[in-house]
Amino acid sequence: MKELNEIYNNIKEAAKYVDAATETDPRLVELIRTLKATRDRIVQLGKESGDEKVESFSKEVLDEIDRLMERVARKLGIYP
Amino acid sequence: MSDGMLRGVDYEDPIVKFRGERILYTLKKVSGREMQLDPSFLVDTFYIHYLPLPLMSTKSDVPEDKGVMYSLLNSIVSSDLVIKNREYSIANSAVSVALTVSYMQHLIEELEKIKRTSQSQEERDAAEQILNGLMKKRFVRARKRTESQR
Repeated sequence: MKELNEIYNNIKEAAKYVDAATETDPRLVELIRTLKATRDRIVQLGKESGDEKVESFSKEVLDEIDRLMERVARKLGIYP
Repeated sequence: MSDGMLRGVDYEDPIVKFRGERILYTLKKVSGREMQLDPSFLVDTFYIHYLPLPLMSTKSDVPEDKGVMYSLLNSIVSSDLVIKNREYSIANSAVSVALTVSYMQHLIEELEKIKRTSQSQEERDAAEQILNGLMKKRFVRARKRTESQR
């Protein structure tokens, strides 16, 4: 749970960073890759836990990651 | 341990402190010698591997005597090797600990080698400055006292 919480807080911080970043910021492309890796790991953590609370929170974290991925993609002009 | 250089990391959190201690303990075991390293730098290196987007504090928020360590940490964040390794370490504390230990061990060995063998005085001084920055301030003062007594 603690691990998930740390990741969740960082995703929130990352969202602020993305909002303030320009479209040419080189970390944005890296961030898309990173978020995909984070997503895979969170899915794994949720499945492995066998704990309902952790599974439920992991879904919340995944939603937050998906929202951020979309935000980054829009900023990079991947979506019209 | 409150002088870390990453945004959003609570350096006073017991789990964060425990991670720093665990890394130091493993590093001592692996290298087979006593080390007096600054735990906040170890914690920062851990979170660079662990967090999806590690964000550095602004340079103006960092004390002047930590300028060299700030630059070092900044170069770790953008290092190709670390970026590649992060693929496996993000949100995985065990892998992040292992990679932090390995990274720190190699960094210290490399700096000590430069300090011992470099032909350039400038390089030797820079390596010593970074090594001092990696160590606990208390230990650096004690070491300097011992060296001046010789």
